[in-house]
Amino acid sequence: MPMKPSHSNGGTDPKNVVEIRDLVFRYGQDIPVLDIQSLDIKKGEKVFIYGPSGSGKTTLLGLLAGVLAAKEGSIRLLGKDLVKMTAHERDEFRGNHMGYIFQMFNLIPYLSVLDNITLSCELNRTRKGRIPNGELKKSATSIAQELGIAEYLDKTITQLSVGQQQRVAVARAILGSPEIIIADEPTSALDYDHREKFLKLLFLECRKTQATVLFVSHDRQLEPLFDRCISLKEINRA
Amino acid sequence: MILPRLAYHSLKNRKFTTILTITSIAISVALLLGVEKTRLGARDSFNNTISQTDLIIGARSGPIQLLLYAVFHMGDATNNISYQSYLHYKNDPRVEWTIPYSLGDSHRGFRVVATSEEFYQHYHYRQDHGLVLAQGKAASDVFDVVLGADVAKQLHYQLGQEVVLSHGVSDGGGLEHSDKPFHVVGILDKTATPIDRSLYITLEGMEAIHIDWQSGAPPLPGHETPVEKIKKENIKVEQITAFLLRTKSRIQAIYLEREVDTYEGEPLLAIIPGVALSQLWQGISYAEDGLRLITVFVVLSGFLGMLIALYTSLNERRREMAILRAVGAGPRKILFLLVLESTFLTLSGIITGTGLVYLLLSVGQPIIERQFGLYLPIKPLSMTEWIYLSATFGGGTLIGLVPAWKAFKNALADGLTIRV
Repeated sequence: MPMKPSHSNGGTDPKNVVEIRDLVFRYGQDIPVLDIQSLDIKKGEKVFIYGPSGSGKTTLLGLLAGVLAAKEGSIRLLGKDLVKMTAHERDEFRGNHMGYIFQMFNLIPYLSVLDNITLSCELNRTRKGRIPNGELKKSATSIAQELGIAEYLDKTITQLSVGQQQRVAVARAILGSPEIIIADEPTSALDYDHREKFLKLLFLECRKTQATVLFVSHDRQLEPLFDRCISLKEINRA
Repeated sequence: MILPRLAYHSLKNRKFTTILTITSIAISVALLLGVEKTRLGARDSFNNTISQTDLIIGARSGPIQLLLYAVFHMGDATNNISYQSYLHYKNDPRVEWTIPYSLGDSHRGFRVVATSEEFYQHYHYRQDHGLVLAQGKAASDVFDVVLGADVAKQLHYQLGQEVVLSHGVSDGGGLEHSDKPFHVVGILDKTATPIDRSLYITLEGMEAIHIDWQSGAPPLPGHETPVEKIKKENIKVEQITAFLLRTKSRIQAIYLEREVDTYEGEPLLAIIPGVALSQLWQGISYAEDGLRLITVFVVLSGFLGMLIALYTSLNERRREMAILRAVGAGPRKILFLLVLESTFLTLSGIITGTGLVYLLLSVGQPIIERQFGLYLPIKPLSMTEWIYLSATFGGGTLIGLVPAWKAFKNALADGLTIRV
């Protein structure tokens, strides 16, 4: 898939939420597992990243989330280069600007549904700051209402179905309006009907906050619902 | 303040192990404090076996020996002192009161103390506790005897009972003063001191039972002076064994002590009971250290329980840690979370354990006093106890660093994906 090679020497386009240049990543001294020359993603885009196992999907997610540290190239998110940040800064950046949705088991088992939703804001001051003072619970409740899980707010997470749990994860990911939503196969535990419904809800919420969605999956069935599809296999030269 | 809340809910989620861990720490803390309180109680009881007495004066011998026979009614005096010397100090203007003691006889293993009525008036133990007669009255007549609480209880004696004293202090088999029986006129209240284990007669009574004795031998049968002929007024007390002395002002005790030691009438020895008691205590207190060492190990084993509980939970909590990392918690926050958990466990254990000690103390205090003669005062935590608790807290937090460090490493290695 062609990637806009014209931007390859690091010029930043303010419209780009993600800008990867000459990124090479290896675990220790091994051969690189990821080598991406260029990858740009615009604000508000809903991108499907197709990554079968072995394509470096986990590594790319780790790098984008700032859990893995790259030493070569640059990963600019919202104009800030993760490669130049310290681990602590990357953690903070992730907490404040990203919503992360796992494949499953997204929730802390000992917290109520409401506490799970507000956790991302409670842990990150900047993110909480985007919500008017004292209205955290109110915002969480209104998002929960839109996602159809408002009646479960005081329940423990074991009382929820998998689909409901994934919607709680969406609520947590978008609360506090982070600019980037990363979803790591969030629908793989759902059946097809629910997948589509889930995605539509996700997109609806992201449109409100103008968040960019990076949706990673090895299942191309859902590809048509996205603005753009990137095959990791094609952009990864490693 | 989300992390303390997380720690709290996480522990609450593992209620059973949390309660077990807190209980095991609480028990070790209770033991630590309990041993300390018992130790202090024992020392205090010991040092307060006698109070309000400034000097104990007896024939010149060792201070510990004098203390033993005068206060604990154990062992023997090497010599008596003359009643003359006693009167000399009794009438000294600086002296508030004196209690004379004449020792040497016994009854079924219990010591007999001959004393005066001043004993019932002035003897004090544990600061301001005076002697109280549970039944009857103080001994005033020649053949009156008052029983210590333990004596009455163990021998099942009642008021009016006839008591025959034995010469010397052996338990039976000795020479009996069967010609001159005594009658129980009073029973003292329990004091949890050696007072409970003696019988009290008058100084005249002591003279009376030895009235016909000559050079340590009893009178030949038929030669005893009949009891009816013995009148208190006619008895002249010649000797006593020791006496307790209270000065009008404490500062004079020191001058008097020196004076007694250089008394020209006869060789005397004066001791300050508090000083002699703590000297004696130091000699027998080595067992304390052993006891304390054991409690330290109990506390350590409590910590070990916590370490195991937290450490083994970490593997099943890796998912949880990955979620926390995904929402922006760095490995340092994960470390802090685990430290908070161990701190919470330790603190709860300490509070529960301390509460337990005070609860047991308030319930058990009278029982312990009755059963063991050990008075454990319910006092706020002492400096030493605060130090113990702080050390426990510090130790618990420190040990909590072990699972915390493991969680930190896990968080770094796992990131958002768990490789199990």
